[in-house]
Amino acid sequence: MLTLKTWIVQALFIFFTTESVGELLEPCGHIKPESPVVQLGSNFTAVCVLKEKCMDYFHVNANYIFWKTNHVTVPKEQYTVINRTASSVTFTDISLLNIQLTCNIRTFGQIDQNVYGIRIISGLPPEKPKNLSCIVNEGKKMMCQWDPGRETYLETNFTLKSEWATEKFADCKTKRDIPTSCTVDYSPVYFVNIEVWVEAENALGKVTSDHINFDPVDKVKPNPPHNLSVSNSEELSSILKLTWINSSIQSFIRLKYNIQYRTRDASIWSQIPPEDTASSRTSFTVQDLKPFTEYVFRVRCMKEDGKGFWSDWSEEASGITYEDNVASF
Amino acid sequence: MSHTEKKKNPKPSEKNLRVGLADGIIKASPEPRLALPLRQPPGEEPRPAGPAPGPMDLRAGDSWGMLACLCAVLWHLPAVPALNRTGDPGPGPSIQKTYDLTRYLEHQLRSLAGTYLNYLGPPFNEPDFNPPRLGAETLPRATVNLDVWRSLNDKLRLTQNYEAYSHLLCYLRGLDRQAATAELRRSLAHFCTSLQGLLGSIAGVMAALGYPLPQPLPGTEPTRAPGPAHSDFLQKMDDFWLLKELQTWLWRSAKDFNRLKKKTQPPPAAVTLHLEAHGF
Repeated sequence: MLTLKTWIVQALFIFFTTESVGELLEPCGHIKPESPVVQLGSNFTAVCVLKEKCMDYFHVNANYIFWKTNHVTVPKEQYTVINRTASSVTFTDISLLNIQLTCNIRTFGQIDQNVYGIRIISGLPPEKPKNLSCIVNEGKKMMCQWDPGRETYLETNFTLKSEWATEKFADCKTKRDIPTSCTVDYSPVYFVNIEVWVEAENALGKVTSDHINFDPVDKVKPNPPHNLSVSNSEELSSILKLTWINSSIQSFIRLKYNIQYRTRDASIWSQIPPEDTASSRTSFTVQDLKPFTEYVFRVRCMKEDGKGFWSDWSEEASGITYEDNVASF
Repeated sequence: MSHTEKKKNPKPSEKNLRVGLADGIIKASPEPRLALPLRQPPGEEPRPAGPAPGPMDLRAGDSWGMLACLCAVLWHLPAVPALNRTGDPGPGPSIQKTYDLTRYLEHQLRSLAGTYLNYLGPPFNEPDFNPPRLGAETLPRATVNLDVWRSLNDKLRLTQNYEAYSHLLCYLRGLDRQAATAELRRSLAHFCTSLQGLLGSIAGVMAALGYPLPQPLPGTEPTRAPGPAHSDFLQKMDDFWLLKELQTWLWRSAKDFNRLKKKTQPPPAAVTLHLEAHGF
């Protein structure tokens, strides 16, 4: 009990004196550069400079310095003694991503003392982003994606930039977990050309993708037609009339459609020839159907000139053709 | 095209209204009967129900100085640089785009105006509200004598459009909307951006046709300075007329650009003559 108390008192005494004096905890030297980022495959040199006070205290000079990477001593051939107080180490063709480099001195012939330590991070500069493309889902904001290129092993920031000929828009910064696409902050203005590109930047460099220039109206994915309904005809047992409501985008762009149908138990869809559904409409009469048969229909739309993306398929709707009036014998 | 105009513009009684900012020869005629205040043309979807009107809390006064300054700054913004387009197929495609843009803006304005008028509250959001034009004399007038409109040369036609939207954008940006919902503020901001796009588009057409952009004359900056007795109600009236004038301008611009489009297309008669020359 008594020894414990004494030990605590001694420890506290040492702690407080060293805190106020500070000398015993000061490093014996330092390494330059402090926190380098190095390109994989390149050369790197670090310099360790000893403090006079330390050199006197331990009776050492720069010749007593030895280096370690991740606790493995570096061969002497890589050292260069610059002068009495400084020694450097050179690495060629760095291939490790994360190296802990320490500068140490051998004191009194046998005691190894650590002087200073740094961490070398290595990686690659970003590659030029490729295949930049954008899409505007109707009613939503424009989203662009790209191919970021090779792994850099470093934190790389991607920024999507956009501008008109007369005005710049705010940068779109990618979120950390999705570095290959960005949704802009502003609603799209159709019929005005916009120029878009991506900048990639990390500690080793900055690079810009090719610029693309387009009208957002040519990159639209419309909402699918809705309220699809099917009605039959008493007079003609081989037809069914399809009606639907287009989304609001049809008030300023013209649409074309794909209409598909199948009998209830069929597994493959037949498609109405696209030439027949090549312009804005809200109904279509399907002919040459079998009488008294249930058919299922679905519709999708896109911009009439083919620029942009097809909408999702509408909800399916079904109807039954009328009975054949001809009595079958 | 002209026969539709005749239906929409009744024979004007020669009301000598104050000249707008654009040009001295323009004499405004009474509002075309078809374009009733922000009502839907028949056959289209009903005006969407907006949110419940916010508190009638439009504050006047201290922001006017700032607004005048802001408008002056915007008005003096350097002219849009001529757009460099190599391999240009002529002004046709950009005229078509500008036309499409006015239709798109009309579509946007329809829902925006519905919401904003609901925010202003009655009587502004009543469908048969058709007030006399009080105040709002400085707003650029879209309606114009039909013969005058027809006789406008391309440069003047484009210049009037450009100047009108510059003014209207300035006023629109100054709309006091602190009390409006975030949704409404966003819609207004987006509409302002779209109008900015329209200005750029018109500037592009003018550049393609070789016309200089209109420079503002000193002393003609739009200032929305209310008179000393400018009440809340009159302020709302100003807002109402701003939206109405925007609607009319977009309706007119569609016709302006349609006309320009036809002028820049090769006339079919020339093609026929060509065939005749070859003995067909």
